[in-house]
Amino acid sequence: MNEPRLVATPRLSEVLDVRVLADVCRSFAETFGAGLSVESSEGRVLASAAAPDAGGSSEECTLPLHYDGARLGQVRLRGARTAPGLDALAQHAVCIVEALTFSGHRAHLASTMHLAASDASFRELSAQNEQLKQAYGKLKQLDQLKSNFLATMSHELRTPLTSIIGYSEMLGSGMGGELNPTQHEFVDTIRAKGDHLLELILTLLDVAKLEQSQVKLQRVAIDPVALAQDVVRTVSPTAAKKHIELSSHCAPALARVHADPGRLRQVLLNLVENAIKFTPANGRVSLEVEPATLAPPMEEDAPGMVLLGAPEPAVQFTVRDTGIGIAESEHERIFDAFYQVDGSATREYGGTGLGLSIVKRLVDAHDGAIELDSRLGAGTTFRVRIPVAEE
Amino acid sequence: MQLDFGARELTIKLVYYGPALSGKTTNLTALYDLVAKDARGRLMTLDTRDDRTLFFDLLPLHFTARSGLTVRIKLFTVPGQVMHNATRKLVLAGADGVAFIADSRTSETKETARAFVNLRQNLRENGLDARTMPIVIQFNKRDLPDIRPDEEIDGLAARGKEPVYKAVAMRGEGVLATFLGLVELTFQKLEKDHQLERMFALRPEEVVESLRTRLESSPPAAAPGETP
Repeated sequence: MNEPRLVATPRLSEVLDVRVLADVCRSFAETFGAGLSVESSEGRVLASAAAPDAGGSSEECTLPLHYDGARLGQVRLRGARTAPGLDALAQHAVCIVEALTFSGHRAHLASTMHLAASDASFRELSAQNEQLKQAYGKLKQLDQLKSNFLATMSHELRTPLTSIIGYSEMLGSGMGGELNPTQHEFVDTIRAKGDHLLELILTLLDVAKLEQSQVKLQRVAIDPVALAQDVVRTVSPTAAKKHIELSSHCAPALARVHADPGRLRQVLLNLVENAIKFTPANGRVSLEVEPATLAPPMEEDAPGMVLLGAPEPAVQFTVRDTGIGIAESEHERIFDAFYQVDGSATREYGGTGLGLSIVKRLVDAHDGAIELDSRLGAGTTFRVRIPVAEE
Repeated sequence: MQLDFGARELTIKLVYYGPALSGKTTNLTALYDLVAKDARGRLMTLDTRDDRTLFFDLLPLHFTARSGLTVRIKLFTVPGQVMHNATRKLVLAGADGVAFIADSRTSETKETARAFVNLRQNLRENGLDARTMPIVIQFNKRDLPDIRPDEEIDGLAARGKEPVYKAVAMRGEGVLATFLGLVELTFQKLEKDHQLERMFALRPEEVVESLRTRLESSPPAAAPGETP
């Protein structure tokens, strides 16, 4: 790799413009009547000018050229002067050459850097282009696979299921002849399980989509209060039917959140519907919205903890119910796909056990956090924190 | 690290890294004012436009250790602006230690985090690892309003692995502590990797002490009004 060697001490011949140096020597000779020569540390004369009047006795004075603590060469002065005068003049020459060296070194480094930076940018862009090309090809393949899978799920599985549901409905309605009560019960069970299976497939499709594409969110700045009110409006008929008191409270002057409106709505709707589902009649369900902070997840001992782990402003949605609650031993698994605390709950309350795993995935995709606070028989509280939009 | 056995010279490269306008050049300028003239080279500020560093700044320091070994420390800054990444990567090549200069203001937290992620990336592309690289972090501009609170920084600093310093580089506060902290961490790492003590009788503590006495006893250029 063609890197500029930034820490190396420069060589005099690299950084000094010999023509400028020759001008300086000439001017010295003309102005002070002293011959000046500048030599590199290897003894090479880079520039020199003899004094116009070299006749008579002449003194010589040699001073080293130091730069950045290293000796780069020397300055030799010859003239018909006394030693102290010549010394002062030599000192002056050294100052000038050092200043020239510094500005030459600077120009040298700047141009080296400029070349190297342009070169590096070019190589970087070429490499990125190549990577993008490869990634594009790979993504196209994956996209095809995903489409195939989703098509199989939605078409190949749903088509026979539609027939099962349809024929059991026809059987139930007596189109194939009168059924006795036991047969009726069996057919109803087939149909109910068919419906359940269909619901399961639809939810699975959602999970598959979330998993495959790691959720493509259309994130914009949205008003959390409007969203919360919309969710409450949507579920209030269900709550009213179950005689559950549904309330919402929003803190004033809340910042907008950076979220996909449809997906965040899905999260809140799912949590509030769950709360209503698992709360007996005459219970209470509430949705609160307030400001909060969100610390990015960090591995212990990761580099830059103090910079990367800074808490960011967020908005917290709290869904609280007075329902059956969740035992603490279950808290960890509650967000796993297909997990419902008690298998019998599916029968009693319905649902697929996929809701919370979808909620968790969606919250993660928003760089948010979800927490659970619950005890068996003492109600459940879910807290979802979503980062605020940069405005 | 560059070692010239013939000349008995050790050259160390330290890089001041961080987001745009966090005070990297200001740190170098403040150090320059602290260092006695015979122990420093000229501060080279390369091609600046509107106070923004375009390529880098370079401050060479040098001293001779007891064993006769000449230690040269070259301090570099990088351009903080996002578009100069190629330059940043080049300056970072062969670095022995990094001081990350962060802007303390809460409004800059995101940008600062991005710059650190960029540092990690550029280290990796230079074949270096942020986990083993000597890195110190400086929270600069502590005199401004709306900064990340001390408790928050201290809490996270206690969990993180990099030493954290607080500074007001404009007034020279915390600049020396950050620099010496970086030197100490860097020489501890060099000692571990290259056994400088066995080869040159050079201990990390000696380096830090040499620098500290040179810097603290230098004429108080940064504190006018005091008698020298």
